[in-house]
Amino acid sequence: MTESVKAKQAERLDIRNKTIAGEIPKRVFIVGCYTLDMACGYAGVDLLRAHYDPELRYKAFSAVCRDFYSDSYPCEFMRFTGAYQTLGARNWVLSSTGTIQHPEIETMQPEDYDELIADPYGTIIDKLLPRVCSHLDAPASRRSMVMAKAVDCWNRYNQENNAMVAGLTEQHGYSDEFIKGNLAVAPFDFLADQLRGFKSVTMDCRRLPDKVEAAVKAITPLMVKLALANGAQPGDIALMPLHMAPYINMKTFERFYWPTFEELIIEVAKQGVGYNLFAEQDWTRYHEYLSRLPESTIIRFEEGEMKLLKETVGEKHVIAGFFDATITLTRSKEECIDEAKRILDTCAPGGRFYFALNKGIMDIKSIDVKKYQAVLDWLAVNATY
Amino acid sequence: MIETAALKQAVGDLDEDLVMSLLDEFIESNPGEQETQSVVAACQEGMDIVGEYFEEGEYFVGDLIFAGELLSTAIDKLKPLLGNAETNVVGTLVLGTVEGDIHDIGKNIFRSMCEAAGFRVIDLGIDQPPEAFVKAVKENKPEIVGFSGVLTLSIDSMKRTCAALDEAGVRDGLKVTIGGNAVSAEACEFIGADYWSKNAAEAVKHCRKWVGA
Repeated sequence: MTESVKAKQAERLDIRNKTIAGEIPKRVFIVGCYTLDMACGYAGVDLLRAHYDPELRYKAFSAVCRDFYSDSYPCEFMRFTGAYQTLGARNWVLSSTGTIQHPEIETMQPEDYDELIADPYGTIIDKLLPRVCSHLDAPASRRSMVMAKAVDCWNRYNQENNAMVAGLTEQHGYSDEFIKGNLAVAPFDFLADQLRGFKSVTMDCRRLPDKVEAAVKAITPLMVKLALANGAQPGDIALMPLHMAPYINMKTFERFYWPTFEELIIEVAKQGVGYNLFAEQDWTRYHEYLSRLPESTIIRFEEGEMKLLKETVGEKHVIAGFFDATITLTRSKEECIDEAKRILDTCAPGGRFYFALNKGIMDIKSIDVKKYQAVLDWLAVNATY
Repeated sequence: MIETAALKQAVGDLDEDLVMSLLDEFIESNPGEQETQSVVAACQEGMDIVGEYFEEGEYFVGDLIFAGELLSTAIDKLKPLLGNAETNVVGTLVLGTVEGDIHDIGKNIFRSMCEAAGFRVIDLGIDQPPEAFVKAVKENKPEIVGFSGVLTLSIDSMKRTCAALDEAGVRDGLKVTIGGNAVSAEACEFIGADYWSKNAAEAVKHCRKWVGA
């Protein structure tokens, strides 16, 4: 690393740390968020091949790092296709265009609730996992082989990815991200996304409310363990994408979502581990709840009433998001910069804010590259305090 | 004799127990086909209340899913009483999640609401290429085609699908409506669609207007 890159990295790290600490940094930290799909589209790399070839992934992600300004490593690759396919997974699958996605699945039936409530770990491992992963639905010896192969595959992806991130971080002088640690899952989201499915869980909340409530309570200790797995350290920031809350009504949220979500956050915070929450869709109506979370929780919003969220949630926590990069397809360059400025003017005063997209860019065709780059370059120069 | 106003409100309130007990009482009274048609209509009108509550921010997607399920169960219960009476089809709609996107929850909510509103729906499923929409439109001659998509990549797919309908010469008189988390007024203009909404109930109302129902 050259001296100038080292100095750049030190400056970025200082801005990041001040943002989290609630101090006013010299300028706003800027974070990109780009998927493998977007990077391949940008670099002209075959997406399907890139799922299985680390050199192609490097070619794609390094092109994005070269051409899109960011203060931290901006690429996202955490769904390791080969490992899911080794397991015969149904919860993460490729679409016809090579985008890995989570389809609606119903792993668990209503009659399985009692067993899950009595023994959540045993039921998930012995009964439910083989339903999600068809290759684990086999005699013990074969199942062990499949799991060993999948773990080996996962580790290889992980090592390749870590090496790539380290290399590109050193090359571009990126600071640490606002995520440093495990992936965490809210108990109700786990029940909805992995066990019962979006549709069935919303039915269960009306037809089997006591069982839903008992089930989310029963799986909460497992979600705490997941957030603290792999020797999590104080200072780590676990990433938790939040899913179901915007799609349920307030009564359902208050009974089934919030209590175990809050418990998870507080239990993990006791170990010194913080959270970077991705608030999918609109969480405005939950702003009073979010304000109750431990100070300096990081929350990236997809949409919502920005001013209200800044004045309430942003008083205590670090907020980000709101910028929808797809506007570059339909607005002029100046209008796109104005939108970034509007977000800065609302969210930056007082600190506790960093600039990030409202969601990762999934497809290069969903943005106008030149206009989007112009927004980033404008921010890098003008987003000062 | 069933109190249709009470039934309509019970559907709107998503009070499944009350809806089912009202229907059980009604069925026990050996009603005729015409009477049953009016009860089906009351159930469908209950969905308007659901749409209003959604618009007011009292109901959310989870409630719409339950509403769709409740309405299907209610209508299935009443079907045997309708005998061979022709159900009034108000129009035809081709629907699908566009290429590259495998999400189907929103699409399914919209489908069940359209069916409840009297549309014949041809559901192509998920991850459907432009040519599948063109083929279905040619075969079924719908008044409306609906694209669903959650991921931002679906915007480009919707645009390509719209262009394919234009190129195939089947767009004249055909209305295109788009829905899902990815859509917006700007996306609608960019895609060249006629209408967009994230509120399935509102979109159904709009579709009914298009076909004069």
